[in-house]
Amino acid sequence: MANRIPAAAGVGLRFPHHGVALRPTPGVNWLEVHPENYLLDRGALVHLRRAREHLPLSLHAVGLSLGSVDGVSRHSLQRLRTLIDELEPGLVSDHLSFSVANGHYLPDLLPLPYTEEALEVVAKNVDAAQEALGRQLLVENPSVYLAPAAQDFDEPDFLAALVKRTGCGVLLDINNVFVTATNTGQDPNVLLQGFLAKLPREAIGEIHLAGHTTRHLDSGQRLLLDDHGSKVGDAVWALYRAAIAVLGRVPTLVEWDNHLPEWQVLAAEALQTDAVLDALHGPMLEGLPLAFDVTVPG
Amino acid sequence: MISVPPLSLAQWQSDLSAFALHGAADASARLLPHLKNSPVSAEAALAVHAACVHSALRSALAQRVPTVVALVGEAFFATMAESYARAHPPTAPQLSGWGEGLPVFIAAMPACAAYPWLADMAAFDLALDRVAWADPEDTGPALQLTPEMALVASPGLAVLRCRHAVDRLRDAVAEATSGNEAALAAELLEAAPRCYVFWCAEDAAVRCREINEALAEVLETLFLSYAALETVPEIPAERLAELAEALVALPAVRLVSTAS
Repeated sequence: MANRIPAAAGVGLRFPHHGVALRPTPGVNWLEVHPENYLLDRGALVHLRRAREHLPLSLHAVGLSLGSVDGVSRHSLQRLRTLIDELEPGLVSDHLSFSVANGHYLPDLLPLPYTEEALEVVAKNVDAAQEALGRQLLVENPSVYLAPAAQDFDEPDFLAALVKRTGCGVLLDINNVFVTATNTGQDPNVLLQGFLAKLPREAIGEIHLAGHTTRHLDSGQRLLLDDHGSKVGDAVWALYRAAIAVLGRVPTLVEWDNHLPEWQVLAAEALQTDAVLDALHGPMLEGLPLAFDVTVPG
Repeated sequence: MISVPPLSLAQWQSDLSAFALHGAADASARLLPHLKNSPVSAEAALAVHAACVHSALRSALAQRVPTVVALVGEAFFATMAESYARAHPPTAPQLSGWGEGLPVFIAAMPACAAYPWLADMAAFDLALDRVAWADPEDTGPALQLTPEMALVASPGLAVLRCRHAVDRLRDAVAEATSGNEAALAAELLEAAPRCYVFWCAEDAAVRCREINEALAEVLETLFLSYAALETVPEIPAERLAELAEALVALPAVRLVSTAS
């Protein structure tokens, strides 16, 4: 199976769907997994190898900790490289955040202040990761809950500077744009337009769509949580359409991690994604290998 | 106006991590002057990160020890998991392998002193989980008996010693969960030393069987420490034949032909 990710909808593959993912499913054009889930569990890797025989695969890491002042673990990079060499994924990504500090790994995408110092650190780490992995990395905009008082960049500027310095790509998570904007008192449309205006079009290699929940705090305040545990919301679909209108067809993942629904629910959201892509830019030519990524004018 | 000294990125990361994991008050005190309330208060936003970290760790641990969770309940387990996470935070992102120290931690936890079987149950759950990682297509370690015959261990082969019959306790928990609460009989919690062997079968299912101590030692010596049969300690020579027979009869190992 060709390894290029088609500019169409894909879904996040999680363990309960290992079996059903082997069946051809309309809307599911490619798969994405968290590589960390397959580094110890050789049994799960057997399932992933089988799935990879049927569909292109993307690896979406959560543990490289690209923002860590201590650098990226060589061991983590070596293990990821081994998996990449075996599975030949079409895309490899991780987040603009840190999760390792004081020698501990914390399973959260902890935020960075967007400062010159942070840019130096992230750029150095992305360079090291791309060299070790032998390929371009996509870096995802995270969901932000904390707002640092003093920053040198806004998020789009920071990512644009990172792209310029390292040659990395960007995984633009539309749900994260909405969550971050809402949690930090920004207009989601303005933040999205910032990304679209400041990032080179060719740098955006993938888009993520996901659900979020609203947490009502004791203080009466409202916070959006990027929990990937529900369907993509209407406001996020609207942002997605706005992004795709500017960007053209981009590989787009429907991502669930919690309250995982039936495979068909994921497939339905993937079909909805394809419908947006097709409506704005015409359908992909039938009969041609998806890897050729040919589109017809709309 | 009081100026706030800048916070280095290293300090930011150390403090945010310390607060998220330990709730360290000094860490949040250093961070707060560098955070805006926009529109959610900075304290609340910090607390969300701490909650996310512990929720993810609790969930990862619960997946590895489901019987422990069923026995102690979600609320007790949440407290236990948070304490364990603070004492033994993960050092790598492969959370499916985090929690190996839980049995020892439980055994030393004052709140668990009344439940001496709980540490064994955690060890049993973890053993089952580890075996599930095995690649069922990978042949396990082999012991060449003759030029033509070898004993091959199934993938994931492991031996566990417990002071309680936790296999029966686990079955009873499953029954109780299905509505038969009478299955959880008090005598299941009494001390009853057991040895277990675990393996991944050819159909990829995780199997477990109770074995005697002598067979446990043979398995460990032959397949888990890669020694020779004669080196099995404290087993009379006259029992070796009997043990070899038991070994061959065990589905966790297979006698295979290696003749070309």
